Amino acid sequence: MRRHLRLLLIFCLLPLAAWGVERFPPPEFSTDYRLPELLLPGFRPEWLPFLDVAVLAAALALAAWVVLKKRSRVGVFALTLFSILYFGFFRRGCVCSVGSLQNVAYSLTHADYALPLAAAAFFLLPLAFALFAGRVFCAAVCPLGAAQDVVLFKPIKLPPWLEHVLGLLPYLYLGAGVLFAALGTHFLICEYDPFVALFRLSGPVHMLLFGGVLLAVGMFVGRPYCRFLCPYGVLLRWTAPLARWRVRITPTTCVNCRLCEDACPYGALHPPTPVGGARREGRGRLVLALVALPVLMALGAWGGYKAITPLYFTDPIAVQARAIETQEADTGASTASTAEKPVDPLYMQALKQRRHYELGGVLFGLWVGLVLGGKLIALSVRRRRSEYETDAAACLACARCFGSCPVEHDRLARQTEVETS
Amino acid sequence: MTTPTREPEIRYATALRVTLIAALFVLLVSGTLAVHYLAGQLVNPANPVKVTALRAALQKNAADETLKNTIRDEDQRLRQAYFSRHAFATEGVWLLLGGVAVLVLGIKGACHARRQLPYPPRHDIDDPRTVAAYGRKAVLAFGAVVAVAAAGFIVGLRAPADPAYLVRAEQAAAKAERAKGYANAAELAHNWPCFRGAGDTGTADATPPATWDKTTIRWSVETGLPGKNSPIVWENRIFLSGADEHKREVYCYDADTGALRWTRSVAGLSCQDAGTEPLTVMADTGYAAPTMATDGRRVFAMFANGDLACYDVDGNPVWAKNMGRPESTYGHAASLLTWHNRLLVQFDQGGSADDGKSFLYALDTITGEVVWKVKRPVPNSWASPMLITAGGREQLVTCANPVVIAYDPKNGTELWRAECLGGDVAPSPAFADGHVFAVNTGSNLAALDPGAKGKVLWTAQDGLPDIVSPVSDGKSVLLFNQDTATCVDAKTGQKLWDHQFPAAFRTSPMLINGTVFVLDITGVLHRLQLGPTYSEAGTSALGEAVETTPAFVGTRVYIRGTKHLFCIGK
Amino acid sequence: MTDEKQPVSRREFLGMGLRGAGVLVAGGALGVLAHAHATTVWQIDPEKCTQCAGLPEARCATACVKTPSAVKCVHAHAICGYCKLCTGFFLPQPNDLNTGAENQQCPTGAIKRTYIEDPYYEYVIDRNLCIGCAKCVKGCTDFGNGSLFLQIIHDRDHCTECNACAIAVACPAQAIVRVPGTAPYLIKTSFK
Repeated sequence: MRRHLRLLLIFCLLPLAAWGVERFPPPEFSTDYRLPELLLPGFRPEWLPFLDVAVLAAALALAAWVVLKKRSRVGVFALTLFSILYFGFFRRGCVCSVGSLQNVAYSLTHADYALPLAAAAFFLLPLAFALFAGRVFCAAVCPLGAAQDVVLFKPIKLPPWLEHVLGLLPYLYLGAGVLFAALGTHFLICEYDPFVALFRLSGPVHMLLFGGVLLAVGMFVGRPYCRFLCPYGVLLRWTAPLARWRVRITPTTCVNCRLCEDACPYGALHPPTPVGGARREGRGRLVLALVALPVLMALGAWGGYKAITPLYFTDPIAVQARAIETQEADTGASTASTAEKPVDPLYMQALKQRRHYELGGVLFGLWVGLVLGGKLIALSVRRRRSEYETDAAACLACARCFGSCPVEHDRLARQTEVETS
Repeated sequence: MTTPTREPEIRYATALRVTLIAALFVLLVSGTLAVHYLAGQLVNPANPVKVTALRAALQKNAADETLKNTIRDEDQRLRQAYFSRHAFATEGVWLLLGGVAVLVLGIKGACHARRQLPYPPRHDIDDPRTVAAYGRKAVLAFGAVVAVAAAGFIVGLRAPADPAYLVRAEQAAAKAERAKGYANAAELAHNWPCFRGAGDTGTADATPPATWDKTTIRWSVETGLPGKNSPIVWENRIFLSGADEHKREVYCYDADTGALRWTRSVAGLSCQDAGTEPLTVMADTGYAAPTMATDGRRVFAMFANGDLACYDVDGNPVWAKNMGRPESTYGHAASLLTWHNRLLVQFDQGGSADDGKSFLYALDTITGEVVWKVKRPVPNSWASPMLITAGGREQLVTCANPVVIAYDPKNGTELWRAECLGGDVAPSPAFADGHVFAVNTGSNLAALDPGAKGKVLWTAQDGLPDIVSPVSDGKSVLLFNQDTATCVDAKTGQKLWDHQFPAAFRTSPMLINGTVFVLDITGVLHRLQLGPTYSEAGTSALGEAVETTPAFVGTRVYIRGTKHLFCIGK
Repeated sequence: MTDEKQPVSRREFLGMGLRGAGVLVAGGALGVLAHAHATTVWQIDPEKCTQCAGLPEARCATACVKTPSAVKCVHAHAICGYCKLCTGFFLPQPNDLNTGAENQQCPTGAIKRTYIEDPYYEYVIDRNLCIGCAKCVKGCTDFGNGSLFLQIIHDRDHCTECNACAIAVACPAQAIVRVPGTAPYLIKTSFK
């Protein structure tokens, strides 16, 4: 009986709802009761983003100075701890440079989204510093790198072929991250950020586990996330080789003593190449690799085209549109009248999104082909080195290798002499 | 005593112990947290299984006090468990963090104590060529893995082909896309988009039948509300409007069959200037005098009360507004015209130019919003604007008392003006061979050069019309006043001939492929050849009074009689 | 550096050019892209929220990276009807109109019901107890004025201000939107 009454009540009230009138008009109290004020905590102060940017710039400058001028591993370590505390635990990981690349991609495809200053600065400042001082951001400023750096104890050397393969993952991850950010569906890189859950001390269990596993692996494999996943690292890889001041193991001249050969835990140190071998050697392979590039890109584009529909169906808009379609079917809309019915605005949105997927899927496939082909070309080009050289693209500027160089020890000894005398 | 050499060993041992203890602690805490987490999965106040079951039981036995107490106890237990677990997890995480910090320091210390001097590696340097060769193979293998994974993804998530909603959305989007644009000049010229053909110039290309009579009428259909507006034609649709004192309607007929495709009623538009007095117009003008216009996607209709409505060609309303009730002695009559995505409305009103009420409007065809408007120094007029290309640019030529003004249709900039008219201006201008001919009874027939800032070339005063617009082939200009036609030389204004017909004329003559077609009010169509002497090529009688200008499209002629709409031709 | 007096090599010159261009691009991009005022936060649009109708549990309660969720119920008293039989407070077909657990929607007892005057009762949310399950919101929106609704609470104890809101991805109605950081709440002012 009561249920019937309630149903009756609802039907009586529905017309009111259409007019935007309250079902139960707010009462006029005869007592002196006053409406409680709705008090909600305000957002963090507006100057906080500026502080973040200032701290970032200062930390980058300090890192560059400590690595390149002071050549001090202790200094780098101290800054690492600071970054874990400030950018990690205090700022709780957001916004970070790695994630900011998605904000940039999103703002480029969504005119209604204004890029916040903090996101733009976090994206650009480390790249700008990399143009002059290499990857000092990775050295001690990035909280994700810092967390892995402090747990590295017993680095083992990965077989070079494995390093080559794993080194491709960041490129693919970057492509996927930019794709989904530009489509406006996911911030993939943030969703699968392994350490941000640790910094927040809460998060989905699988992400906490992932972070824990990466840290455990990171005790023996130097910085697995930075080297084999980080998409922002790809951008830094492109800019760091242009650096004006680079990390050099030896302060003056290399004596080829081989003492530093195993000093780099991140595979960024290349030994000199053996002398000899014909100049023409391997030229045919290079030509083959150059021919393979467009083939791989075409294959990638084809694969990307094939993946459009399945990819689209994972999109939240597609999921929602599907739910509405089912709902429409359930409410008994006869198929004959569907043509006359106005099209739900969400369907139009879904169609637009579908078109974006068509473009994005093919572009992503092209990118995968380009990455694979490019790597094959890179592996077919012979490089010559006469001394131990740091790979500017891969060097994370952690300053670990300096201590292995006898010339550096000599320099330090002389410096102490000068200071004491 | 410890010797300096043994000091690192002691430090190492200490660090190792710290490390071990910290590791044990971390394991313990994380283990506890994990167990706690798993057990906590069962404590979910948002989905209280037991309480829900108990509540269901209470529904059946509403008075059971012990059951109520059981529910309350269970509820409280659940809530306490939830919040205490949460508090425990928060504290546990901090403990874990502290443990990890100590662990890291311990291992660091141990490593530091056992630090060894670097030693040259015993192995040889790998040959980079071998490394690269392995690398290439590995990359290729990786590529294969990526391909298999992608194939697995595509096949595994095999989704149906485009779902129905996407197809529907696509159709709607295509329709919206079509609706967005406007027809180009060639399309406009192939149709009859406004009064007196594209541009409202009085000349058009068509091949109407040379002779016809009542029996060769393709179809005729009764029209709705009365209207003195002429039919316009877009592809296989004919549009008309009609109105009386109370109702305003827009009609769409099928050009092939004459069937009424749709009719729409224009109503409910608020008008601020309406006042309380009913709108009165002269019977000869009526409530729907302005001829409609189309840009090929939408049609526009205007009425004597200032209502302006826009529908797409299928009759879906796009926008409607009231422009304000026109203060017009005989009733508003200027026909509509489109230019690109603009609807041009010559809105002359008021008894005197000093009233400042006359404007030329350009409205966005899609939204109906005013894009630009310019004030016109004229009182009410009844002539329609004309769109021409002269002097290398498009010009909108308007006639009123006392000036002919040309505007840039893009932004309303005035291009030129010529003072040559007077009185209540009703005839629209004509355009031929680069010259504009403006005329009104009691003032002048003026030939203007629109390429030279509207310079008045000559004026003449013979046979000036009061309603009917002139027509010209560039050599001569033909005027119809009441039942008399007067032909003057287009170069000099000299009268060539005049001729009296049995009936008067209200419709505007059209120059179709060199022949003038004009209907008198009894519905007799006269075909005249322009030249130094009067020459009639033939007549055809419709059998119904006609006051509107026919539309000539292809091989057909569409004529709106006072009661019927006729289609003549194949 | 010691090699300053040496003539600039081609490689160095190229490097300098690229660096200069890079800095220009970075500076220009920062100027064009960045908007100091544009800091945005995530918020639930109450008009779009469907209280996860048809789902066993509201995603707002489960998808947040925080436990309990940073989403809390908020009460706009200005549009509240002060009903005696509040459908946000009471379960459908309550046993009795009292605060017993057998009658309450709220699983954590976060709604405080106070008698004001006949027949009006005041309802206040205790945010420390609320877990964002939306049960009361659903009751109030379906049958009442909709004065109860969910909001993400923006202070250090609640929202961690994730760059990508985890709930926004999970929301079936896509009701979680970016709003300016200076006006972080979307408060209901009328019944729709």
